[in-house]
Amino acid sequence: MISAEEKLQIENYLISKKLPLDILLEVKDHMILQIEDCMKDDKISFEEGFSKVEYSWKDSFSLTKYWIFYGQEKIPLVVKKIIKEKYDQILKKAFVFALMSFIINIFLVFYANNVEQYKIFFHVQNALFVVAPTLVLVLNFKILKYIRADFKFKGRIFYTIYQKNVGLLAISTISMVQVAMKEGKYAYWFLRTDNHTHILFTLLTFIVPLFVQWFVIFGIMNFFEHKNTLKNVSAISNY
Amino acid sequence: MKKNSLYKGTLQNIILKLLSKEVKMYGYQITQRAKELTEGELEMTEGALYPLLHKLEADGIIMSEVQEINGRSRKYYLLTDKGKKQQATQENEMRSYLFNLKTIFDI
Repeated sequence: MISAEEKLQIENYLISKKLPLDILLEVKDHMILQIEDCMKDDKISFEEGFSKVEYSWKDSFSLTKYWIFYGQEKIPLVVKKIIKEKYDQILKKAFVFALMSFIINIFLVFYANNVEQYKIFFHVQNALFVVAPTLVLVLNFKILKYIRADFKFKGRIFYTIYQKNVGLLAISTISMVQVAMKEGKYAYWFLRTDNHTHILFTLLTFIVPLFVQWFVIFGIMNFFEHKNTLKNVSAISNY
Repeated sequence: MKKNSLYKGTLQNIILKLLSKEVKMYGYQITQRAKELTEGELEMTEGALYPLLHKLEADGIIMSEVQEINGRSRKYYLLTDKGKKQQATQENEMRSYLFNLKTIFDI
């Protein structure tokens, strides 16, 4: 059996490898079992078993970058592989919602009676993407303390695999404020009148809101994944 | 994998089959059960296992529950209803594939 001190040694090793707490707890259990089996099967000491297991995880803990993660800090390869699988799903779902909003935007161009009315629609539609994340943050103010790195380990690790990108929700919301303040008139002129002189501005009027909304929806989904994972982590540990 | 990469494409099938038999399993248990059944031939690497488990969870094919065992948390994985159907379909496909492969290699 592995002693409490030895378990702490494993935990400190995993903290040094920058594993977020949700992954750390799973890997810690795996490593403890692996070491115990090594000690039993090969009749070796804890230190020898730990070295053996450490070596088997070496590649998984090698540090790498992931473009979607905010900041330049590298993350362990196994964490990158896991978060990539999760984010592929979230990005796809978020894009579907953003595309639906884009289609609604096109519909509003044709629904509006004149450019002034469309400007109001444009403001309201994009303002919703400011209100929604703001509400999410306000209604979840209790977990805002879990947005920074953890306090138990003095900021050395994150609570969840999603935490590193939670700050993006605020950044995307601020970007959305700027979009909502625009008028969107180029889209109206392009689709409803013969004024096709501002192609670049027209393209930007269509594309920028689509991408910023995608960004906001991704931020909201990431926030809720963080919140749900946090519940599991706090339910099983006293962190 | 220990000896070759042939198992690589079938890792998902293997995990789903094991979960359908054992009801719920944790990561290390999955690696050990696969190793035991193949008499040491199949050694799943952690770097392949955990990303796949998390992908299957994100796809709603498996779900997880955490239990406190000997003072530490252990994450168990279980098949969802969707996962049970998918496992049955994939097993049929795999059996058909293996049958055809055997037919060819038995010439």
